[in-house]
Parts: sequence; structure tokens; C-alpha cells
Amino acid sequence: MSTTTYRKNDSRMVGEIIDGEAIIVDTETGCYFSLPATGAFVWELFDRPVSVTDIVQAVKDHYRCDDAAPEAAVEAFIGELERCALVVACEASPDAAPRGAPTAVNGQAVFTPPVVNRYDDMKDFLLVDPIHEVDDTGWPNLRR
Amino acid sequence: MLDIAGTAFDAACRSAGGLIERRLQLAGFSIALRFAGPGLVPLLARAFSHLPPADAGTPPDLSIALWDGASTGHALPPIPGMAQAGTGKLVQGGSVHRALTMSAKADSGVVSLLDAGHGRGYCYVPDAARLPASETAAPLLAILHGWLSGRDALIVHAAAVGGAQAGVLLVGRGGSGKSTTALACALAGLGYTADDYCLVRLAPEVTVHCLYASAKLHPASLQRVGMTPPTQGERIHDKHLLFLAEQDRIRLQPSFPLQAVVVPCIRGGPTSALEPVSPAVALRALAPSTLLQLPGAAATLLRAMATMLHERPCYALQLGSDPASATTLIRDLIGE
Repeated sequence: MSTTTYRKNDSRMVGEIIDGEAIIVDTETGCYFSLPATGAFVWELFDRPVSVTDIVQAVKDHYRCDDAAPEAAVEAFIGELERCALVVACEASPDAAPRGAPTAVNGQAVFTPPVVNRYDDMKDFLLVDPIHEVDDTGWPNLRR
Repeated sequence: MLDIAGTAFDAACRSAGGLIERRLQLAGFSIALRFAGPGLVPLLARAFSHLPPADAGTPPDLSIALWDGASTGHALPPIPGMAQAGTGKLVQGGSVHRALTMSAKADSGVVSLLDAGHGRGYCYVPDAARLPASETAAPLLAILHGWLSGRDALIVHAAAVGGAQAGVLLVGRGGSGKSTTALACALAGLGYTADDYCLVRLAPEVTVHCLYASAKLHPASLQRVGMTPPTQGERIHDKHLLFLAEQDRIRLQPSFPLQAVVVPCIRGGPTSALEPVSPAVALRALAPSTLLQLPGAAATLLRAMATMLHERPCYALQLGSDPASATTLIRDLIGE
């Protein structure tokens, strides 16, 4: 299993968990995502740098995995999060405090593979970033 | 940086023959619009014509200076250094309290500057005669959005209808049926609070407030609800711009307690249907268009939207071709 550490890509992603589902908006591209159920639980673990190993252990601690082995599903999910730029690889935090129970899960729910739902229909709404459009004299002269 | 804008504004006032001030009450806040001369008043005050006047004897919560360069002869000078500041926010050197936000619209050249901590904003228009209708429909949006951030209030991209006791937000991307549904409800006697943007206060209870008395409506939407598209007036792309305080058939509802959030979507068949959905569905419909049209303070804005939706009844409104069926469902939902 990968030992890479990941964190949320806070430089461009904003997200909230509501009713057990994570809703995340990419403020750079206009894409947005929903991560229901198990996905929201895993997403909340990225509030601080966390390794894949720790994520898998957290999933096993909080879900009934029955016969399912969550490792492959969790690794695939994290890979998709990284491909969508929702998380980025980072240095492990040397003084990380013990992680408390995330808020997204209620009780011992049965594990289901987490998924990333991606939506591209809002990309046209993205405003041009005016900061990078100015000429050398500065605001408000736009580069022609 | 604000000193540069202030100096230009003061010079513009002198050139234009003096200052014209409008004091307005907006959702419990006192806003002062200070115009350098009369040029911008009919263009940028019209969308606020529904707001009651505020007491001129007490300091306003937010004061906004507005001027146009062409009629006053005083353009906003270039502000060196802002291009290197990064996206949106600039912290003035030497004082962490003088955080400035700024935005510029590439199409209109309108520049907005805001010192939220001191309640001061500047809105510079290069030429009032060339101001696009989109700016007169929703003026000062960037400044108001930036100032409200962190004040238990937010602006959202939504339509809103209701009565004095309750109302609903209609949320979703453009083309989902929000504007047509809101107009149909208004023509059926419900109060009209918003077409595109509204102000929501989160405390002491969640209330929706009329921000702009304007609406952008496609000719087909007007015809669908039995209104004749105007032959004159401004247009924004293919939509007619209407100022609702001037429409006899529509009653503006200044504010209402939020009862529910409705996500319209167009479906086949004549009749509409309402079905409960989770708040996550509503947030997914509301958040992207709001965040992408109102850049800056994204995390704060998203959290405020989630707070607004928390434990709030949410519904999908499957829209049929008969607007009356949708209107009936919304009236029943709010008990009107």
C-alpha cells in the first residue's frame, strides 16, 4: 500500500460536508464535486496531512467492512481525488496530534466503496481573473 | 491604495459640482451611496429604488463612493503593485487591518475597491454612457458581497418568492427555470423578492431580503407566463431588463423568513411535481453558481450557504409546461 501523505488542495478547492455528503467547488476551473457517504468520511480525514495507511485504518475502525477489503477501493478513491486535484501529496506532519472521529459518519454503517461525482456544467460561469490580465502599469489598465 | 481612489473621487466631486448622497436601508444595514455629480445616479441607484431611506444623522455601516471618469474628467489612476499582489486580496503594507479587496470587470472596466474593516468602498466607472445593462441590473455586487462576508449575511445566486410570513429560494444554474417560476408566482399574487441575487441574513433567523428590484427575463419566459415582452428598454444579451418597482402587476416582497429551498428542473408533461431532496442536493445546485459569480471569501461563503441549508426542507421542483401547477405547489409549500 502507498505510504504517500496527502492533504486537501486548499489553494483552489473549497468544500463543506452537509447531510453526510461533501460538496466541493474548484474555484480555478469551475468544476464541482460531490463525495457521498464513505467519500465524505474520507474527505474529512484530509483536514490534516494523512497517509493512505492511516486512512484505510480509519475506514476499518468506523465502518463494518464484512467481507469487503477496503484497501483497494480507498486507494483507487484517493487516486481519483488526486487526479481531480482535490488532494495533493505533501510532507507528513511530524507533530500530528491523534485524530478525532470525523463528523460525517453515523454509527457502524456498512462500508461501500467511495466515489467521486464530478460536474462540469458550471465552467462557463468562471470569471476572468483580472489580476493576471493587467498590463505593466497596474490597475485598472487591462492588457490588450 | 484607497488614498489614490479617494483623491480621484474628491477631484471628481469638485469637477461634477458636488456630492449627491443616497442613504438606504438594506436588510438592517445602513448604506450610503455617495455620487460625484448626477451622472451615475439614475444608472446605479435605480435597482435600489425599493429600499427605504436610512437616517442621515447616524454614520452608515458602509459608505460607497461612485464616480465616472468620462463626465468628471477624473479617471482612476493606475495602482502600481496590485498586479503583483495575487488574486483578489491585498494587504496594505504596515497594517493588517487595512485589507483591501478589489475586482475589475473586463467587459465594463468597472473597478471596485473595498476596505471592509472600515466600511469604505469605491466604485469607478470609466464612462457612464457606455455602462452595460448588466451593471445597472446588479450594481455594486462585488463590494456588497465582500463587505457582507463575515457579518452573518451573504449574497446568493437565487430567485426568491414569498409572503411576509414565509418564502422560498429557487436555486440552480442558469436555464433551470428559476426566473420563469419566480415570475409566474409573482403574477399569481405571491411577493417577488429576487430574480438573480438576494441577500440572506443568518441571524437571529434566516431571512431573505430583496437586494435588487430588477429582473432579467427571456422573451420566451415572459410569453410563457402571459406577459408581453417590452418593445423598448434595456437588454442583457437576449434577456429583457425589467425594474420591478415600476411594474404594476408585480408586488415586491421586501423580505421573508426562509421556509424551504427549491431546486427547479425542467421535465416533460404539463404538470409540475415537488419531491423532497437532501440539503446536499440543494447545496450542489446553489453553491457553484454563487461561488463562481461572487469570487472572494469562497470558504466563508460556502460555509454560510451550508449553514443556511442545515436542517432546512429542500425540494426538487420538476417543472411541467403549465406554470400554474408550479405556482400552486409553491403556494402550498409556504402556506399562502
